[in-house]
Amino acid sequence: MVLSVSPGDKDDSSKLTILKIHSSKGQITTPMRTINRNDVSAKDAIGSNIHLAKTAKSFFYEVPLNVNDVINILNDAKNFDKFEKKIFDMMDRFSNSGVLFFLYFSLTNEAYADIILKDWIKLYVHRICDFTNEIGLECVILPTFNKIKTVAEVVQKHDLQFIPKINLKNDFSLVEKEMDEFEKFDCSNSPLLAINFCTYLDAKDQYKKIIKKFDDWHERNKAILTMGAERKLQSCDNVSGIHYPAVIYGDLIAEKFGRFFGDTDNKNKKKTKLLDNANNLRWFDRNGLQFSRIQEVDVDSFLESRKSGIYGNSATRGLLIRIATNQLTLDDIKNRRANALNRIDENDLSRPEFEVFQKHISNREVTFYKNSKKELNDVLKKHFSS
Amino acid sequence: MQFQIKGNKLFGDDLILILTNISDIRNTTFLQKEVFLLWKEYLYEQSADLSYFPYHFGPYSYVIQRFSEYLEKLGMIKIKKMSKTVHRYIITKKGRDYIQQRMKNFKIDMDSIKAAKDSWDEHGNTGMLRQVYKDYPQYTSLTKRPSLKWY
Repeated sequence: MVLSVSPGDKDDSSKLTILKIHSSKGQITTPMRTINRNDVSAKDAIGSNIHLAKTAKSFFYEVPLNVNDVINILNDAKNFDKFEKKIFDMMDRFSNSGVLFFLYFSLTNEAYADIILKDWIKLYVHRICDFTNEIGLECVILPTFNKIKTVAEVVQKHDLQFIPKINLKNDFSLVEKEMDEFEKFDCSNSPLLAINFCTYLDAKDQYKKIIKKFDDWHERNKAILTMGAERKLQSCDNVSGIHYPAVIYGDLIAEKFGRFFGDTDNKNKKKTKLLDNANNLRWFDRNGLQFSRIQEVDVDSFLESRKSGIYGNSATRGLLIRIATNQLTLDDIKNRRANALNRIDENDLSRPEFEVFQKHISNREVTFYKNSKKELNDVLKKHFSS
Repeated sequence: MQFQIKGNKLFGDDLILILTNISDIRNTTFLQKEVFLLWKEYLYEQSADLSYFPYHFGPYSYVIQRFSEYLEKLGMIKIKKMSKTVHRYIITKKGRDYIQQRMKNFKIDMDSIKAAKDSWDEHGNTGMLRQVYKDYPQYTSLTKRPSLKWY
């Protein structure tokens, strides 16, 4: 089997364990950043030379499936062809970087419900496993369909590692039952549990259960990975946070802020006009792990401090100035350059911060690190005491 | 014969082999653009002129195209046809032995070049063109993809 987890050192004060995830591509140490299609699209949109895989050693490729897609797949396995080329292309792009590639077929609510109601679970899992084998991946992330054992049995028949994905927003008793089942699985067959990201306030009991179970799972060579973690936390708390870092294979989470330029109006399927608020665009600030509004930043000094990075080029410098002065061109809006630059910028700035954070964990100084982030610490305290 | 005429400069075939020695080159667009970026950003001083000129998809060099065919004839790379239009460039053992020997004559920061190649490979075709168009706008005058231009 391709993936295995082994616990490393533990920091006595913070009780955080460093996990080592071994794969055919090498070894990954938690906490670890992940990348997804949005990062790659942003890089393409800007033509940026930022090296995404330098610190993020895993890639989540999410393929959305609606009801029609599911029916097509169930009718004929050949209908995977429409996804295959894109998946191969993405795997190819990261094949040399030692990136662990996770493929996840994400079902719409209707498709998920249909699979359960029409009793398609086994056939669906069988089809996904066949395809996973065909493209040469050795582990498969699948939703549990509230029948985790059934899904696991089908996956094992295909000689694949099963990564059950549970929805933390589900009823606590259901989540608890699935976690208990996961715990019983052999670690060589099922080393990881995937959870969808949600804020602590949205799934308090579920997170408490996870926290309680960490040690047991680690001793059994199992780990957790978060999926769909937003870069910007939707909480109204005016601070970014790091979400249960060392134990969950996760990412930096930052504050969610308003709509960007050139967002698509979902109802009318057309580009909304340029919002009058560059005010809504915030910029990542590594020192406070917060965002500062772009207008509050002195653009000249900002560019001066970053000229060796992504703003070393007159094109990106010009774009930033246009954003700051509300002078985006139609080309900028059409190509969603402000969004893309923001994402790339966040990547560029938060990665060194993440490396500092990882280093503190390695040196067992994570408590010191947390205390150095006052606002972050306050928010975390508030969350845990609520 | 080629060993004798090359002297102390790197040529197009060397640059192709340096890149394929790190990892395959995905297609012809990437062949042209990655060699161009390698030449401009890492090995300009140590290389002979590669005769790049503005063409339909930004900088293009017939020299590089010919060198790739020449290397295939010499058995130093394999050009694998993936589809009607996509050709993948893969180094052979002969090519690997040759370039490793040849690189000993030059000071080449292979770690930086490897990181750069991995980063370029993360692009799709469009992203690669955008990067080249952004950093080298002087090569975009004849482009068939003006929408990718920044200026």
